[in-house]
Amino acid sequence: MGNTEALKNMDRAVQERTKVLFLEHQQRIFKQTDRLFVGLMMFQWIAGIVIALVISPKTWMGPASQTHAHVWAAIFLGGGIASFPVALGIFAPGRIMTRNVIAVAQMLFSALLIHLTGGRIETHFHVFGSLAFLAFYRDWRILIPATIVVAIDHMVRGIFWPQSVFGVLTASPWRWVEHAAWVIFEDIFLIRSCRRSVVEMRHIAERTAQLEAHNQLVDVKVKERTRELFESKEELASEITERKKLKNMMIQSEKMAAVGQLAAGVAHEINNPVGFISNNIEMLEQYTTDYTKILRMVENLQKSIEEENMEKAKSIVKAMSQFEQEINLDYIINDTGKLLQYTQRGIERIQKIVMDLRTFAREDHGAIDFVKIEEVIDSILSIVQNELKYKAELKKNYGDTPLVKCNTQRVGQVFINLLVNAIQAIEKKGAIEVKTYKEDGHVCVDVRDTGKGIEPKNLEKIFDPFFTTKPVGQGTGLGLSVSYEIIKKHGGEIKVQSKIGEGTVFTVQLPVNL
Amino acid sequence: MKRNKHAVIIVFIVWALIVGLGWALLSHYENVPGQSQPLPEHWPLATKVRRTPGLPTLLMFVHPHCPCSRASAGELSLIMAHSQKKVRAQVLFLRPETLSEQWVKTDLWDSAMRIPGVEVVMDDQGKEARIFHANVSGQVMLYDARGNLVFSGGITPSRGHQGDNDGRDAIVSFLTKGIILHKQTPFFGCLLFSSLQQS
Repeated sequence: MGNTEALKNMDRAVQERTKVLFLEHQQRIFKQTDRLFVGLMMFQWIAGIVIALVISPKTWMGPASQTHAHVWAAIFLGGGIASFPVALGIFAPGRIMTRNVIAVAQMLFSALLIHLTGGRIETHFHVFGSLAFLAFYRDWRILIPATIVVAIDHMVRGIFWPQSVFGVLTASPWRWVEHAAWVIFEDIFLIRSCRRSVVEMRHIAERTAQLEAHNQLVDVKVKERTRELFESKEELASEITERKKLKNMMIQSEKMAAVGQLAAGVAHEINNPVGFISNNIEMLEQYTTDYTKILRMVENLQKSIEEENMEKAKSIVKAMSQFEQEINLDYIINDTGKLLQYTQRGIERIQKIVMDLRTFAREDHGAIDFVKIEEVIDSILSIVQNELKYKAELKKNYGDTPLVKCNTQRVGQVFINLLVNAIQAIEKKGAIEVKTYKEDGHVCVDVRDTGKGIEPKNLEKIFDPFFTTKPVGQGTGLGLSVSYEIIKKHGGEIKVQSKIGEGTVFTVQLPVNL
Repeated sequence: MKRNKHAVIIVFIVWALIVGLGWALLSHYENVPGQSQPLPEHWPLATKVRRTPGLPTLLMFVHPHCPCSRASAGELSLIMAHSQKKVRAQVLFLRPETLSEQWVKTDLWDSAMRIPGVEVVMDDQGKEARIFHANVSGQVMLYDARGNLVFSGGITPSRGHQGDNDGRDAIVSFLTKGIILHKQTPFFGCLLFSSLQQS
C-alpha cells in the first residue's frame, strides 16, 4: 500500500516536472526564434534598401530625375515594419505578442520585397520561406496572423487595385481566396510539423523528467548505501580496534602465564640471597652486641683514667683483653666487612631480578626503542636463571651487533618463550647456547638447546595457536604463536631447525633500522 | 504589468496604423496610372518608324533609366514568346537632346536587345514619342496591318510590377486570335518629358 502511494506520488511529480520542462524548453525556443527574427528583420530592412537603390534608385522625367519612391519606401516603410518587432524581440522575447507581431511584420516584409523587386515571381517565394521560418517557433497559432496578413493584402488590393494583384481589372472579388488558399496549403504542412514537434518536445520533457526522477532515486540510494557503508566501516574499525585490544590482551595474558610459570623460579632466585642476607644480618647482629660490649668497656676505661683510678683502669684493660680473646675480635672485624659486602651483593641481585621481572611483566604501551639485543637477552636470562641453572649450562656467544628498533617487552617475551622451551626440552642435563650476530641487514639471535628435538611432523605446526606437545598445565600453546606474531610485526622472521635426539635451534631475525 | 500590456497594445495599434498608411501610400503610388492623351488612331505619316506590310506593328516607348520599365520589358519578352513572327515590335528609347548615346544604352537597353524579334531604336529628342503622343515610359501601342490603332496602354499590372495583366492578354489575344479584348489599359512609368506632368 505504501509502495503504491509512493509510486503515485512519483508519477505525479514526474508529470509536474514534465510540464515545467516542456514550458521551459518551449520558452527557450520562443526566445531563440525571436532573436533570430530580430536579426532577420534588420537584415531584410537593409536588404530592401539595397534592392531599392540597385533596382530603382531614381524616377525620371525626361533628363531630370529624383529619388524613387521605392527608396523612401524601403527606408521608412521597411524601417517602420521592422521597428516594433525588433523592439519586442529585444525587450520582450518569448511573449506571445512578440511572435505574433513578428509574424505580421514578416509577411509585410514579404510584400514590400515583392514590390521592391518589381513583382518578380522569385520574390514571391519569400512568402513561403517566411512561413517556414515562422514554423521555427513550433507554435502553429502564429501562422494564423501571417496568413491573415497575406489574405487581407490580397483582398484589399483586389478590391481597390485588382490589376495590381490579379493582373486584370475584372477579376472575381473572391480571387484573393485562391491566393490565400495556397498559403493555407503550406500552413497545413507547417501546422502538422509544429504539432509533431510539440509532441516530440513533450516526449523529451517527459523522458528528461523520468531521467531526473530516476537520477534522484539513484542519488538517494547512493547516499543511503554510502551511509550504510560508512556505518559498516565504523563497525569494522571498532571491530578491528577490539581485535587489536584482544590480541594485546592475549599477548599480555601469555606473558603473564610465562611470568606465572617462572614465578617459583624467580622466587627461589630471590630466596637464596634473602637467605644469606638474613644469616649475615644475624651474624652482624651478634657482632654488634660484641662491639657494644667493647665500647662500654672503653667508656668505663676512659672514666677511670679521668678519675685517676688506675686500679680500676687496669682491671678493665684486663677484662677487655680477656673478652677480645674470647670473641676473637680480629676475626669479627674482618668478617663484618665481608658480611656487609655479601649482603650488599645479595641486595643488588634481588634488585636486578625484581627490576627485570617488573620490566618484563609491566603492561605494554607499545613503546619502541633502539636497544642492544644482548641487553634484552641478559635481562631475560636473569628471570629464567633458576630454571636454567639446574638443567643446562648456559653459553653466551655475543657478537658485535648494531642497535635494533623494537619493543623491548615484546621481544623479551619472545626470548623468554624460546629459553623456557629450550629448558623444558632438556630432560636431564644439557646445554643452551645464545648466540648473536649480524647477517644481511638483520640482527640474528640463535637459541640452541641440546634437548630431545621436535618431530618433523610437528615442525610445521609449532607456530599455530594452541598447538602444544607439553603436558596439560605446562603450556598454553600460544607461546610460539605469539612470538611469531611479535617478530612479524617487527618486520623480522623466526625460524626453527630441529633434529630428534640432538636438539633445536630457533633463530630470530630483526631488521637493522639504522 | 497590466499597464505594460495596454501600452504594448497601444504601440501595436499605432505601429499598425503607420505601417498601414505607408502601405496605402506605396500602393497608391504604384497603382495610379499615367494620364493618357488622345493617340493617333491611324499610323501617322510624319513618323520615320517603319512598318512591315501585312504585319501588325507594336511600339513601346521607353525612358532608358526608368526602373519601372524593366517590368514592361519583361512582359514584352513574354508577349514575343507567344507571337514572335506575328508582329513587328520596336522599342523606342528616348534620347534627350543634350545627352549622349551612352546615356541611352543602359541595362534596360541591353534587356530589350535580348528579346527575340524586337528592334531597339533610339528616339532622338523624343521626336517619335511626340508624333505618337506617348508621354510615359512603358507605354505600348499596337497598330494592325492596315495601320489602325487596336490597343494602347501598359503591359504591367501596376507600376514596375510584373505579372498577369490585361495589356499583355489584349496584345496576345489580338496577335494570336485577332480578338480585341481591351482597347486601352492603364500604364505606369517615368515621364518621358519633363514638361509634362504625371497624373
